[in-house]
Amino acid sequence: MVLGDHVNTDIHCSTKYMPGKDSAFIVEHAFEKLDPNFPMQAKTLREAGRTIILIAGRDFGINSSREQAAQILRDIGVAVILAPSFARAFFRNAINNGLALITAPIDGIGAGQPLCVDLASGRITLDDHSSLEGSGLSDVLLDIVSSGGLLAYLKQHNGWPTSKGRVSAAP
Amino acid sequence: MGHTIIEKILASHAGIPECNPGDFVVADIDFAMLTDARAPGAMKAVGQIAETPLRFAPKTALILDHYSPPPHKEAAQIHATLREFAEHTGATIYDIGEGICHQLLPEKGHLTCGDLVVGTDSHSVTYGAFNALGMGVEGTDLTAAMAYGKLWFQVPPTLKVTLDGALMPGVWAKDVTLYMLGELGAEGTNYQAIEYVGSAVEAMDIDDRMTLCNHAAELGAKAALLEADAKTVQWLTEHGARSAEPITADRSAQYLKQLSVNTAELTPQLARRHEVDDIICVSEAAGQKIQAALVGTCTNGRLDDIRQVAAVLKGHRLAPGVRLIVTPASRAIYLKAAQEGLIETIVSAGGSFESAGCGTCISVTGHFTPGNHETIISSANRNFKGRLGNDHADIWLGSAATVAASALRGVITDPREIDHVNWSQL
Repeated sequence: MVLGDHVNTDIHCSTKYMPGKDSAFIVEHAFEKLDPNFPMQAKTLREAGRTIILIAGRDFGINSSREQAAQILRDIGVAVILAPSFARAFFRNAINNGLALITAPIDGIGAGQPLCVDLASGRITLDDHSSLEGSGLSDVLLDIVSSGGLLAYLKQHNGWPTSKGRVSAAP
Repeated sequence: MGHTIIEKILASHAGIPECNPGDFVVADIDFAMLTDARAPGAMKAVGQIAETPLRFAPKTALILDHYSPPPHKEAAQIHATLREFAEHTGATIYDIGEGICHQLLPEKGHLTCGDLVVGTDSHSVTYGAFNALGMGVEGTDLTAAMAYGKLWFQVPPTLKVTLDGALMPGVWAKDVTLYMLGELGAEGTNYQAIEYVGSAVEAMDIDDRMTLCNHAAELGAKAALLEADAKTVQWLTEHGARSAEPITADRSAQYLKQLSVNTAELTPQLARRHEVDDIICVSEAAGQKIQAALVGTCTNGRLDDIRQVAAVLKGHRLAPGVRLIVTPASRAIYLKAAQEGLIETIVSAGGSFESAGCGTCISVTGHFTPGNHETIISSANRNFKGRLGNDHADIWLGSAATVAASALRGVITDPREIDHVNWSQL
């Protein structure tokens, strides 16, 4: 599923601008202002048990600080988001809530196109066997995401598992 | 290779000799802060790890500042929950009217030079004024910090900005930081840290330095850091902080980019309605009518700001049809303003005071909601459409001096035009 540049996730998938609505309501209406078919397509994929990979433009999550936006994306069934860049607060909140964020060029990826993402290396392989190079998640972020989020990860390991400070160097 | 301030703070808190931009580290948290606005999310996260003891809660402050005083029963309930949480966990609580989180953390001695602090508010970058790394996080991070005392961070690259040249009388840190927004754009430093250096920074007092760092949130910066000097250390000591060990950038530190601004040339600046980076000189908007004026918030609600308002209004009256609200950033500032006679001056001139808190910055208490087609001039940090609860009102941003001068005349006014104020004495 494909979204454009500079998407403020607080506006499209949090209750910040929809006071009085609950998370379930937002899940049914998220991103409909950008793409009226989004909620229904997402629902179909979710109910079919498919993994949703969201393709977004530059600065995805810009001006958004609400953790709820990341939680709602997860409830929608999104597991992975590919974008050329993410806003800082959104990046934190998404990882902490178990979403895999890969910073990558998204040129040429179409809606509905099957693709395979290596979360560690960031390599995206398309169904025509072409590939795009993104930056993958460092070990600790990958572990947090695979555990389902920061608190689940810490609970599982009874705290931060390593006394070593640096968890991975820049790629 | 040398390192920037943020690289040094993150490395020391991760217990490693050095780290570089792009690295991920797990670092010790010196202090954490939770506001009432983000309490529901944090309490939900606390519930997810209900059996885990919150060993680091005593190094956490809970601040009842957004709903201060609570405008509805839901807010009052959040406050009741937080009071109970503080009692059970040993977290420090600051009740309504005590002040805004970013003022209270330094003022109550909770941070010192070189500290790593997280808070559930984007303006946690303010602590950079004290050579401390402050970053905004959400409930999950805050809960993890209370339970385990550490969080993960990616080391950002640093932008070095040199501000050289004495500010003209009537020009303040607010004008410098608005100018930066005009130059770099909102989110123009997304995922970067800023180091501000130069003679203008050295000349600023602590109040102005806090304004300079606070506004880095609008620039999208992860942090804005200043080096500490004698003024910093004295201020921290007076406020009961732990002994300060200032962190300096190495001479050979690697910067993403270096910029210089001749601050001697700066005139009072304004952000036009709706956009924090639509910046003009105040003189370009002269004559624009206003109906309401606000001096307050974590950006410009300090004693210096209130002194500027009193200097403009002393012996005068607000322009007819203009309302002015002053919200001190903390109870301590409120009291000092009373002791200095500033409140009497401002109230006699037709101004009003609100209790210390965030209510007038964002429409959470509803005490500063504008009418349709009204224009507000404010010393706050954000002017997005609808921020004060009415999409049909315009918010312009300027220094406390500009706000006060505009409230006096009823039209946007360059404070340097107010003849009866000697700005160089403030």
